[in-house]
Order: sequence, then C-alpha cells, then structure tokens
Amino acid sequence: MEARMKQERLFDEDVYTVHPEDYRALCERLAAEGYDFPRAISGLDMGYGLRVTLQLTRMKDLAKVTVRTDVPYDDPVVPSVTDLWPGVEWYEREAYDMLGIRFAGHPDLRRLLLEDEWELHPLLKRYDTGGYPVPGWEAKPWPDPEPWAPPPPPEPEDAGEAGEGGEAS
Amino acid sequence: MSTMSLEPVPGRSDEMIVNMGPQHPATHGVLRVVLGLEGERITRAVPHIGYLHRNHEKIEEARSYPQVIAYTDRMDYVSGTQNELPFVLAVEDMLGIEVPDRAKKIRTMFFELYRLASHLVWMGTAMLDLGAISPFLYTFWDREIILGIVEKTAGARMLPNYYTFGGVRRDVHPDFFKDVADFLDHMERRMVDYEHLVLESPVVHARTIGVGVLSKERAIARGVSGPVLRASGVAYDVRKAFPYDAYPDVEFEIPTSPDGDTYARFWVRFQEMYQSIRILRQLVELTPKTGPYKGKAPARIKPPAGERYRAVENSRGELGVLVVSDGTDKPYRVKHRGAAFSNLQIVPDLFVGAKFSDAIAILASLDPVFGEIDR
Repeated sequence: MEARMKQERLFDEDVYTVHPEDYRALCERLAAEGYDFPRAISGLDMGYGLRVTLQLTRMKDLAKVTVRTDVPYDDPVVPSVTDLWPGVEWYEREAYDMLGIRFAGHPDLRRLLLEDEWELHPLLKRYDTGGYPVPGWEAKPWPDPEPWAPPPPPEPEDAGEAGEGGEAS
Repeated sequence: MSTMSLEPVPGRSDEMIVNMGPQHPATHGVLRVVLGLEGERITRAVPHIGYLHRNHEKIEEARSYPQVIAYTDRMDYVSGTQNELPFVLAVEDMLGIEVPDRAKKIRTMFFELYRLASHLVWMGTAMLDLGAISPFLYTFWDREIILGIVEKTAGARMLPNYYTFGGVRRDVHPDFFKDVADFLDHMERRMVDYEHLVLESPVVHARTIGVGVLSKERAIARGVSGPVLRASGVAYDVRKAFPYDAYPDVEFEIPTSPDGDTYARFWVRFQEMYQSIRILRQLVELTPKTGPYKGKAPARIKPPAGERYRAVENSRGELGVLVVSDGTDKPYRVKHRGAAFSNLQIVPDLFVGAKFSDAIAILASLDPVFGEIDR
C-alpha cells in the first residue's frame, strides 16, 4: 500500500493521496487511529478524472487529516466509508448527485439535492452554469507521475552522509 | 430531493405514512420528512432536502474571488457575515495577506453580534413551534436592534457583504461602539426575561426534558457540531480549537451539558448568548476607536494553485470551506461544509421512537437553516 500513497503536510493537515483500491484500507487505519469526527467529503472535477477528498478530525488531540483519491471519468467508483463514519452519508450522496461519483457499499445512494429524474451531474466542468455543454471541453490525459506517486527519494548530496544513513537508496 | 414516499411494510397494516413538509410551518423553511407513524410514535423517518437548492458551488466557480464573498452570505441567511469568514480566511491564507489587529477585532464583533441575532431568531421560532407566540415578538424586536447596528456600518441588514480579504470593506460607523455598548446593557436585562419565558417555563420543561437524547459517541460519528454537539457533552468549539481573528485575545468559556436532550440544546444556546455578550463587552473596550480597518491586499485576487480548508464556529457549528485554486482569478472549486447540513443528518436517529409532537420540539432544537443546507 505504501508504494501507491503520497503523504504531505499542507498548512495544519496531513494529506494522503492514495490509489482508489487502497482508499478503504487507509480509512480503516485512520478510524482505528482514532479519527472520529468526519468534517466533509468533497467531490472535485480535476479535468482528467474525479477526486474525492475526505476530511477528518481526531477529537482527542484535534489532529486533522485529509484523504484524497482520484478515479477516472468512465468508472468513478470509490468505496463508501459510511459504516466507519455515519456522518458522511449525505456528503457521499451529494458528491454522487453533483459529480456522479458512485460510492460502492453506500446504504442509500440516491440524489440528495436534485430531483431523482435529473439527468446531469451539474458540477462537472464539461457543463456551464446553465447546464449546457462547454464548447471545446476535452478530458485531459491522466497526469504523469500519477497523483498518488510517492515523491522520489532525496538525492544524496554528500557521498559520505548517504553511506551512513543508507536509507536514501 | 425525492418524490419518494415510504413503502408499506408487509404485515404492518397499523402503520400510517405521513408527509411532513415542505410547506409545514414548523419545518423552518423547506424540510420534508416522510414519517411512518404507529399511533403517536414514529417508526420510520426519511428526510428529503433540496427544495431551496440554487447550486451555489457551481455559481461560485464562475465568479471572481471578491464576488464569491457576496454569494456566501446567502447560505445561512440569519447569521450574515459569519458565512463570509471561512472563505475570506482561506483565501488570506493562500495569499499570505496580513490582517491588522483592529480589523480582526471588528470582524469578531460582527461575528458575535450575528451569533446573538441568530440565537434570537432560533429562540423565537423554537418557542413558536412549541406553541408560544410572544417570545417570537420579543426576540425579533431585539434582533432588529442588532440589524440596525449592522446596517449603520455595512449598509445592509441580513446580507451585509462586509468582510473582505485583509479586513473589512469600510470603517465602522462613528456610533458603532456606543451602539453596541447600549445594546449589550439592554440585552443583559432582556436575558433575565428570556430565562423566565423559555428556560423556566413549565411548558418547555414538559416538552423538552428527556426528549430526543443524543449520545456523545453518536453525535461525533454523525459529524454533528456546534450547540447540538456541546449539549451532548463534547467541548468542541472551533473558536477555541483552531482560533481565528480576535478570539485568542478574549476570554470566554465553552458551555457544555452532559444530558444530550432537547432541553440541554436550549440551555447551551442560552449560555452561548451570555458568552457572546461577554466577548462583545471585552471587544468594545479592547478595539481601538480609530486605526486601519483593512490590510494590504492585491488589487487582483489570484491565489497560487493549491487548496485550503478553513472553518469557523458559526451559530450552528463548524462552518468550513474548501477552496481549490488553479492560479486564475476564479476559484476552481468552492466546497462548503455546512454546520446545519451535518446536524440535520441526525433527524432519523432522533425521530424514530419519539412521539410526533416531540419531533417538532427536536427539530426546533437542531435550528436548521435551509439556505445553508440546500445551498
């Protein structure tokens, strides 16, 4: 799992970017680590695919964490985490409603704000504010390196130091 | 939103399906709950929202950063400037804008004035739901004074569009500090009346004590925040946990109650009003009467590519916003974390097992505002 995960520090939050297959395992780990307060799930249209951003707080020491995962447009399926944090139920429904992200295992994945019969997912960038297709919109190629790629190991500046640490390779 | 009703359970012919809302006066706007009733007891509850949906988040993607501030006002329309702050703070963080100390204090004063205004609206409408008309008339009179103070400075009453990147849009009216001090004297006298009218009323006791009990663990797991969470015994307040603006400079307490019932939620909001008065009293003294009200901000707001989440303690709980920038003058994505939105998710938990008349009292204690829930 570590190979397909990127961890960084952004302002006051730990941000994990993971492969969608590892998303559920990471969430289970964070739940076990005591992250108990779900702040929000946000759906994002990245231009090359859809992104789910889950934000959690640990009430005990107020540590904050963000989990991101990117899925392609043609198969936007992310495992649901409603069983770990029931408070994300409506946020997952909202992300499905607005962007069409499907949360596998969600108990009641219906549209939340729009009518059941609505056809579009309005927050997709391919539609303008009126719901009409944006002329000339095209999906960008999947980024390289992939969003969850771990940063490259630091280059050894001094041969002597690298030899002592031995972790840079 | 859904046209769905509830399917009858096979073999349960005694269950009646009742549709409550969206035009029901006790649903605080446009909440619709489909209830399964067995006599007076609620067996199932499915809330439907979205009747006030305007797709704020899509509109905000098509507007420049200063224009978005005016849109955020329209979310929680009874607490005005409180909605602007998370977005303003997030963009200030991304751009590294410094806010002068006096501007921070003015912002905090408006923030707490609107908390009092919002809790007054809550008190009036909650008592209206319980069948008392007169508290509503008193609380709206007092709220009128707050809105008058805001209008003198910001030019608008409910949607002031007053905060901006680096401070506030214009300096306060020369009478502002005197007006606030006079209002606080008046409000302290009125709080005695409100305690008699609401917290000590035997009708309120009968309708709320032991009704709709929410446990601490369930409240946290459901993402509930604000007075509803604190009434379940969790001392989580963004003002203390992640302080912003002038809150580190003032003294106040986080009132909590271990009971978790509807009365506890009423009681916590009352104590918060006392704390707001206390904060405002300190700020009237602490804020310099003259000085800068706005820091240096670039003429064109173009945050560097990246994202930032900021939250504030709104009248209803943790109101957050995730701002994603792609380096242009329009936000790439603005995602609001609504406090009332998260709080409303516990409706099925609290309704099932309660009596139908208690459901009205429980909903009143959650204080939903549909401008923010439906966005």
